[in-house]
Amino acid sequence: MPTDVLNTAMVSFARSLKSTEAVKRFFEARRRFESDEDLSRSREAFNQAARTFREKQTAGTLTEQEISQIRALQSKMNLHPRTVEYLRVQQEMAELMQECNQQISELLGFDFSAIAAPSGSC
Amino acid sequence: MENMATGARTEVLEAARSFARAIGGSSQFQEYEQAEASIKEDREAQTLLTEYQEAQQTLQMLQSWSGGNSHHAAQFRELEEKVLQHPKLRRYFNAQEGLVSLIQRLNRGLGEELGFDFARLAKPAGGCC
Repeated sequence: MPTDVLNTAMVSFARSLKSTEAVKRFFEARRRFESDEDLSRSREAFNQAARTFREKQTAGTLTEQEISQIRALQSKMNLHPRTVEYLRVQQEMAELMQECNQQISELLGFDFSAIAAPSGSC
Repeated sequence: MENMATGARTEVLEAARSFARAIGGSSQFQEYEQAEASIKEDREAQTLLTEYQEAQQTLQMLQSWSGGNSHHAAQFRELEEKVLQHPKLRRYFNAQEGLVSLIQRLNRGLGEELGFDFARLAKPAGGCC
């Protein structure tokens, strides 16, 4: 089969996926997740605290209070409505991807995602 | 997909199957199937391949436990040499490499179209790392 037929089928599959509500909801949730100012501040605060955490952990000067602080920042970020929405919608979309992968893999006789995903990626 | 319109779901699953059929019609897939079939018909090649795969697993296991040992490493290299000299096995490994390369290229193409990594999200739950 010529390469252009294969590429056409690939593009057609991608476009079909993009037209589903699950993927549209994912893009919208991702946009909101990435552009939320309150969440951006929480992320920045957490990243800054994580850098300090690592430095103090290496130096052996980390206190219980600092561990509690970084846990609180992490919880704030993880429980933020935009994060919760983004993860939920991503999970819904992943179910559709898994179903498609199953269809592809059954026809090919091997797991497409296992071969295609870069090693070590989660 | 409870909240996905049935028509759209049917359409996307059909597009997935068309994509799979197109891969199945590719020269890389055809070559892999033929190379695999030629090994299945050859008892000697099959035995050598099984020995090689078992030696590879043993070596990896030993390396993860204790850094491995030179005896197993030498045994593995010897088998690897035999495998690489075997025309049918060499063809099989080349075909496998070609097919893997095609699949990874197609997934990159899907990623460019979609804006996310299809295969990473499509991996069955719990199958990560």
